Amino acid sequence: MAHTADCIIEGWGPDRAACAMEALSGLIEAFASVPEAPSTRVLPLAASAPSPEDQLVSLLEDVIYTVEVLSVVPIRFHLAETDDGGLAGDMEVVPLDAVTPTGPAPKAVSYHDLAVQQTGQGWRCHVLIDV
Amino acid sequence: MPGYQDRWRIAQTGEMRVPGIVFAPAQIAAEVEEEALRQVANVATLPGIVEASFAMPDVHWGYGFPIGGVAATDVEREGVVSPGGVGFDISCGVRLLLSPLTASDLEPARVRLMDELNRSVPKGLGRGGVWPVHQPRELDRVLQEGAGAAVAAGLGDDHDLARCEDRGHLAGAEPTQVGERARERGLAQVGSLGSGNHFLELQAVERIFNPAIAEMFGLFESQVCVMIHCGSRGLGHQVCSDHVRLMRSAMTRYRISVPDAQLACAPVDSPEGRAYLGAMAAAANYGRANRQALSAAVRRAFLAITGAGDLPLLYDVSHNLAKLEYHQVDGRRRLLCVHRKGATLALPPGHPDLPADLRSAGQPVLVPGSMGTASWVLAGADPGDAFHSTCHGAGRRLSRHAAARQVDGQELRRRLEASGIAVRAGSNRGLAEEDPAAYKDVDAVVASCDRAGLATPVARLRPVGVLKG
Repeated sequence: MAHTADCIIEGWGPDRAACAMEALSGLIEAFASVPEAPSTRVLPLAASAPSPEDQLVSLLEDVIYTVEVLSVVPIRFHLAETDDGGLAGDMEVVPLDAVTPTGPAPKAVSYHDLAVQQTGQGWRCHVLIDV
Repeated sequence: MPGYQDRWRIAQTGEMRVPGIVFAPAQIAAEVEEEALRQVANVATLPGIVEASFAMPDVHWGYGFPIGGVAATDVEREGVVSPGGVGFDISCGVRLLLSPLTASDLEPARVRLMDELNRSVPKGLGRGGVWPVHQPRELDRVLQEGAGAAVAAGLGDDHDLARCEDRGHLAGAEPTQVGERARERGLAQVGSLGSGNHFLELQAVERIFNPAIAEMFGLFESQVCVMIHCGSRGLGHQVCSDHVRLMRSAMTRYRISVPDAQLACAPVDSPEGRAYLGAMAAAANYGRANRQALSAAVRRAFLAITGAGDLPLLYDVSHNLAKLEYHQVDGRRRLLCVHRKGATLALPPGHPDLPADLRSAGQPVLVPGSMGTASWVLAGADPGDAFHSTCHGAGRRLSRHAAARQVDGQELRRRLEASGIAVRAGSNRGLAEEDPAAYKDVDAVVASCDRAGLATPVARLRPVGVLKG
């Protein structure tokens, strides 16, 4: 997506969890080609911030941190809404050296033009990633 | 009349407290995106801003602040500090190492040297750094002492520190304001290049434009130099993210509203403002240590492959930072918080902060151009408006997405190699996104800075080897 400096991700889904999972998958696709093989590990993933936008930022930041500090790359996400309006679930990961880098690594999530909105067909999100 | 050309004014309207001033030649000014101009105008609404919201000739659309923007706020008149006015990559900057070799001297070993740099410089995805900092107390030392910590660990010498902005460390660092996640991201990455638009380049001096200053800088025609462009890595990004969040929740308390969430700010003289500046200085010091550690790897590679390992540092300067500086405003000396985001400090000749052996020349300014075209060495000049600031690069004009669609990374690599540039890159798409066609013309940007009196062109350098993550 067009931003002069970095990378914009847009996601759509029938519900908020599906929309967030699309955005998370988009984040991974922007920098890595992941293998078809099964994952080696499952890590928890959750966000309980007050707003959908803050929840999306929190999830994306968790993934950026996981890649950079734990040296693993999530290849599949499983999220559902919780009773208190958050999102929770897990992500299947593989070691970093199991993926092929295809673009610059994501480093942070920006609040500029950040949006998570309910539409007629479900949910849509728009987020800018610094690479 | 030199020094007052290439200026465009955005009139002060609505919520703006000062006008906008864009430095650019007519053909660049005509292409500046609407969104970048809107951002220049938005910055002009910040509390305490003085003089103008400035934009350099390489200005382009950023988050909140444009990239290529300079804005100063009056600390004693509730002036604010905004992490967005520094950028995610705190103290992203450039340094230039000078070798005794000419391009012809290097040619028989150039490809082997690039292979050695490719092997020994950590870059791209994954952990690893030239300097294995694993202990929290070691990291604290890096955050306090910057390049000085690296030199103390045997990764340089005192001449390196003398040739760094702030002698390699920004005072006022508060490692306690650097959060746990930032620390975890910073450990084991000191001395790594990253990816995106960061690079390490072998360059040759193609043409000298100011022989007197070039001689003072130690530059000669055909000289091989090494330019390193990178910043504070994941630690700096996390510090920015953490403090933007803290400021967003504090802003209502200070009755500040901003037109863009990424302009979140707080008065410099407030707990949140002081916390950010303390964390920012710590991250800046990490960035300086990072480039110092990478220099050690470059020197080792040169020694191993060419036998010439003595590569003195010309200068190391940031282009993403907020600094507390004194400037004359309306005839009075004021303490300002000067934000330079994608804009480089450019101290003029005679400035007391310059090392004695460079003072009469002005501060070296290092301008990385787009990959495969040219980079520049400039010198700080008079009148030196925008609080002694100048451009930082060519400035993007195409998004990463548009660039990647327009050019094939493999083809670009072939084109660069065919023109005598050895390329070592982490991913073909990452390379394509850095295609020179995605950037403005760096020669035009530099010429504009010259006409506007912001900096003096000294030498143009052409790349002979590119290393990217």
